[in-house]
Amino acid sequence: MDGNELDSRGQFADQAEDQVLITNVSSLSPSQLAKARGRTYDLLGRLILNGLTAEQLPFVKAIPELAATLPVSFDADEAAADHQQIFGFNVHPHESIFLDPAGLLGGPVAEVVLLDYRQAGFSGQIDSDMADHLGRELRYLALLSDLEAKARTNNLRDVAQRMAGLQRDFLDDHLLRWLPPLTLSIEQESLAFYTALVQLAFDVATVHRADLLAEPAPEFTLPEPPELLTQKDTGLREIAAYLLAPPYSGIYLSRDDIGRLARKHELPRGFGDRQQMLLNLWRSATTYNSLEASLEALQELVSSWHDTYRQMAENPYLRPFVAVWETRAAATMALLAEMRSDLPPLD
Amino acid sequence: MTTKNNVLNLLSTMLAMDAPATRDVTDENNGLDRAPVAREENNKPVLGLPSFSDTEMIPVRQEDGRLTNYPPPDKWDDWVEYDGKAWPKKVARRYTLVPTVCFNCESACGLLAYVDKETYEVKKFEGNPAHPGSRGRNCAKGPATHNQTYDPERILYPLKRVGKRGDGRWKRITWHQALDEIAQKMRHSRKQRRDGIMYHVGRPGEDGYTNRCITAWGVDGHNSHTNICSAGARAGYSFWGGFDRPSPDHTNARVIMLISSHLETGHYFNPHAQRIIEGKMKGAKIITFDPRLSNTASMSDVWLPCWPGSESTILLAIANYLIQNDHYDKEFVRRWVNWQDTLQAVRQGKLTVDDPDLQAALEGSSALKFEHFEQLLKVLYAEFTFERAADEAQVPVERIRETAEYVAHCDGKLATHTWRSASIGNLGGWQVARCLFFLNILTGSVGTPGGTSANSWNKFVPKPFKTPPPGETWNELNLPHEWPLAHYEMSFLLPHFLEEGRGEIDVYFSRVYNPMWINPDGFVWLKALLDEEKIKTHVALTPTWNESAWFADYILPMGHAGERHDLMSQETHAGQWIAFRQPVRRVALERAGKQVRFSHEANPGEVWEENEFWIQLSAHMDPDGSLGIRQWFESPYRPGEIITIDEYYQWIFENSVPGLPEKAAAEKLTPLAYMRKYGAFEVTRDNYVPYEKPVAGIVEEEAKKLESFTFQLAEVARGIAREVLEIEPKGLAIDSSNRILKAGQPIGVMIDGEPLVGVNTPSRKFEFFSQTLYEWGWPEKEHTVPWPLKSHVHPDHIDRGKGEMLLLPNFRLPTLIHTRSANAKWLYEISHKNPVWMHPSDATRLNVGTGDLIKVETEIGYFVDKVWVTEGIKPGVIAMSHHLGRWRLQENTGVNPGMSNLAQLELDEQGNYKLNIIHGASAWDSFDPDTSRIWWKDVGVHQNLTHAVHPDPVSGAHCWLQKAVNVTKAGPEDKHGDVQVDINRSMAVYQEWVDLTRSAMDTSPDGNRRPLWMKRPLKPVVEAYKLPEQPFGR
Repeated sequence: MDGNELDSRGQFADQAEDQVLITNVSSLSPSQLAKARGRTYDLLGRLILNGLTAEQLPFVKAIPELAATLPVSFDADEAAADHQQIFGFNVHPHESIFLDPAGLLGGPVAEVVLLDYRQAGFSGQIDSDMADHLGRELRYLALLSDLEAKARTNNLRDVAQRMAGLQRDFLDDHLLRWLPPLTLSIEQESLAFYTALVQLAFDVATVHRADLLAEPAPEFTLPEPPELLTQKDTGLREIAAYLLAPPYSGIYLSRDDIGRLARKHELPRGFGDRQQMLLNLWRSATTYNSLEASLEALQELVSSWHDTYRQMAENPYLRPFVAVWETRAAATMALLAEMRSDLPPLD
Repeated sequence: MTTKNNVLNLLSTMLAMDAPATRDVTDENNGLDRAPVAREENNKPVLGLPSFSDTEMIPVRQEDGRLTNYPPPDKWDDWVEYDGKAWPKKVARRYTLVPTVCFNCESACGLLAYVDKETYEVKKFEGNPAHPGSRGRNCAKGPATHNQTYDPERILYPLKRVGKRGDGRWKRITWHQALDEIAQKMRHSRKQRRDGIMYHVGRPGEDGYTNRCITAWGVDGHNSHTNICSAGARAGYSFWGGFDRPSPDHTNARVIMLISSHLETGHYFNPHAQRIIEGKMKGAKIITFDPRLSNTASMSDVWLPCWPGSESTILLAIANYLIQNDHYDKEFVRRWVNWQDTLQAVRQGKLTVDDPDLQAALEGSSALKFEHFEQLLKVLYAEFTFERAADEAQVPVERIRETAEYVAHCDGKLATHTWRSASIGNLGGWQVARCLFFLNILTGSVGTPGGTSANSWNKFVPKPFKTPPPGETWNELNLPHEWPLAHYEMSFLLPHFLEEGRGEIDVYFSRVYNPMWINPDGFVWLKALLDEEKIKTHVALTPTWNESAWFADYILPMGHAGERHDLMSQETHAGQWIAFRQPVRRVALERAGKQVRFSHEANPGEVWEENEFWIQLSAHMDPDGSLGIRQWFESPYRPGEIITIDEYYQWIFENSVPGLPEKAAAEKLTPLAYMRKYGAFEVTRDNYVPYEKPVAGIVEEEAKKLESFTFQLAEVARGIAREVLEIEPKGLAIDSSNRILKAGQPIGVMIDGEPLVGVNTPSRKFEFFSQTLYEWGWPEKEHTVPWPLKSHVHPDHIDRGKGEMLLLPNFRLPTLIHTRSANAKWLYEISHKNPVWMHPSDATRLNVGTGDLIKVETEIGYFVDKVWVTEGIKPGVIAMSHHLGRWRLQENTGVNPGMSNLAQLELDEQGNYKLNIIHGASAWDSFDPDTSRIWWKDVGVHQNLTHAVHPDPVSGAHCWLQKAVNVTKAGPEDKHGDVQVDINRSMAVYQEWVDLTRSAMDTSPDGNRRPLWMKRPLKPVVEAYKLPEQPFGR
């Protein structure tokens, strides 16, 4: 897509279009608002993709929510290490991880994202592994917003409407579906900058969706989880796989989350992938008669997720995106409660 | 949640600011799809779209069921794949795949170099699936060969010192000049004496090539790093069975017992670790002795964090459990242990036992009975209870009992290993190896499937076309009279010997060796290296800068794994193989029809290889053949002409490797072409219990004679007569110990009437009682039989109340290798610092936390390092990893800036030597963009400088464990990396340990310097063994 395509469109009444697309904004013109959104999504996307760099620091300092989390002096090495710690080791910010039970990058979920990019007219080479990265999705919205702003400036009404529609579709079909659990999972990691950053992205997207004046989206669904406890060959491995698949369990457990659960009861959890760590934790919990306590701690964690989903659902524009997560978290709580009740009594 | 107003404020803020990036957001994300079409980035632009290999990889089925895929060998000449560096563009490139052998540790794992067919650049190194040892797998160090090849700071041309040694001023010279000048010095020395040239090797990385050259020069000039590595273990194994390394068959073991994690984190890591995992997957139990919770320990079934030096006591407690419960393989012991000799020793009072009944039985019986030996074992080892072991080792008694139960039920499948750990850590550490192998003996797990073999049973070294005769000289600087049983050269004491005035060296080659950094007491090395009277010429053969090379006269750049020829074999499992290291660019060029005379024409810069260098240097040393040297370097195919490297290996592959010519012929290849193609060849598989094989070296008629009962009976009588009359038997004979002799030399042993080959000890059996130790000055029971020796770091010698601790300074990291990793950016990114491990209880006592500086005072000085508080180390013990703390003296020259500290040296006349760090690692600009991305600063502390030398009086090993005489929180004046040493103290501690020795001048039973049967890297003629009349100090 380029400027020539834009030039082929007709003009429209800037002020009237503002009334159609945007409400509750009195100080910014619609084109300014679109431009501002473009810049905001772009900055947030870059920060999530690359971490905090010296280049982005002046912009971050101008945002109170983020500035409050910055250290006294900026250390690029430390910032890079934090970025790796959170997105490299713990929470992989890909839509596939949160919506696909297989949890693999570049799978069918990513293919759908890629297809949406293409249907929007982008023929750029985007690797499927990265297409559904949060940073990439935010920058896609940045691009759409920027194009919308340019269309408005050039009085290209149809183009602007189309760009706004694409933004709404993308928020409904993708971003808002997985931002709730992602935001919660980042919050667990206790890295203040990234907690604030992802929360900000969530807020911007939520307000953006509300400002688009469309009806709330219909509730989306997630793949049905297996009936674990009714299957006779279910073991700890299957339960671990269930818990570690957000579309089933409604939660996301990072390596650090598992580490925290282990430390709470002074249990070793070993190394390896998340499933291995969780199994190690449970095995050692069994050895040290702490399995019940460990499951209880996990249940408490899921309960806190559940409560937060419920609070989110109070926003009518978020409800369609959160209801299913709330349901999943409730089912997981029930599963853990049942597991605890099935445990043999301690000697 | 942030309110809507907050979001609107944010949007307003963003609008008011300039765009967050210089590029407009619409400038990105709209490129074109790129199919792998021919483009200028492709390496074959004129050919258009390359035809891709079918990507049908070669399936390699592993025993554990895993399937791994590799490019099939028939596609190795033209392999096409996308260029990962060009990602996200899809740029196809053509490669020729050339096998070679990793040089980052001694395992000799296979590598496969991807050489770009257009540029002849090496794109990457992956595993060679045709290699029987590594089976296509590599550890991190293998692929990191690429870093070393493309290290921006490597030495690419021959250099010669300008100014004084250590000034750091160099000039580039040609190979011709280097050869001429060095060869002249060698020729001059060789004409004067036979011990003036010394080749001091750190990592050989080959089998026998250079030793042949040294022998051809006619000098006793081989020196090694063995005594800071494995001498303790080698001595222990040698006294048992005449071999000097264990080769455990992990894959088939039921119990795997490891003294430390050294094996799995040091060399042999990749081939052994993969087999340990296979064994574990099949149900083997892993037992690890280590005061440190290593990765291996954490994966073990039993972790015994014993106090260093207590290992022998635990092992004997296990042995005692087997013995007292008659739960050992008596049939194996009866057949293969020298129990008759042992009982004879008891009879003769050489081995004292506090059991009057046994003494009476032995004196009253004309025949020695195995039951007596059983009784002897019970009496000897009764004192080694689990409780005693638990007390000495400071580990729970239940864990020792559990270990004993596992061993008792190993069913002849006990795989054991010790190397550079307890056996090299402690005074008397050689007895740890002996006690460990005692468990193999008792369980019959010797050379069996799942048991432990001798290295020589699983290693194959083919003979070259012509072998020079042994030397006629004994170099006192290598094996002086004080250590007649050393395994082997007293290499780490070389500067101390020079300081004492024991000799000087005309031409000193250091090769893949950084003696000042890697050895203990490095400042004494520094003093020696600076002394142009003691070391007249120092030639450093090294692929990269190191601390010692800085003080050399010549630096000659030698190749990494993909830049040189070598032939290697290692005891990775119960089979034998050879692997061929190759200069991969040279091979790729030759495949393309380009002529290459010497490897330095194909390598980066003018980097050469030792193989060709030694040939040319030897030819320059003796151009007219008058020294008798040149003849050994003449071609077997072109008489009188200097041999080429192709000819050298052609002859070996055609004549010395059984099965290789046939295998090659089946593929219509010459043996050399086969090895160039596959890089490896499996010689034998499943080589178990070779000591049970029929005696070799006799004709059929002699074999029949040996098996004749009449002959055997007559020989018993003749043997007794010969002993009484002290007559040497002629022809074929059996002596009173049932050894088979031919021309007076033992060639086998009669076992239950069968003539078998046995092992390489004087008795041809495994020696429980060592007559050698008895005769050579160590007659006490704690030396002659497996027994604990009191370590220099025994708890009695460490007063923790006074702040003393035990410093464990030699554990290793699986991603680094000695001093050769500091040119591998990937490896250094993974691990680059060596903080002091300290238990929380000690940290509380010292009031320090993780990251605080502490000062560790040793017997000769101190160092300052950060502390890491962890429960993964035993209380009272502090530990630091090996490898790290590299330094350089100039900002822009020397060891790679990203991997070393910039340091300053301060030496005064009184012997106070200081090293202070100016700054740590830093990023720098080079052709490699990664060098500007170095993010770490702490690259560790050079602790070895502060270690006093501890030469074990028997094995000669440097006992690495150090007594930290004081450990305190660092003061305000102390800086990270500070090192200070008083080298007068160094020499005093050295002398204390020399005083523990028992010189051959006082103990030799035959006037020789060393038992003739014991190994030496290069054995001279028998006459050279004769003790000198006035050696140093006499």
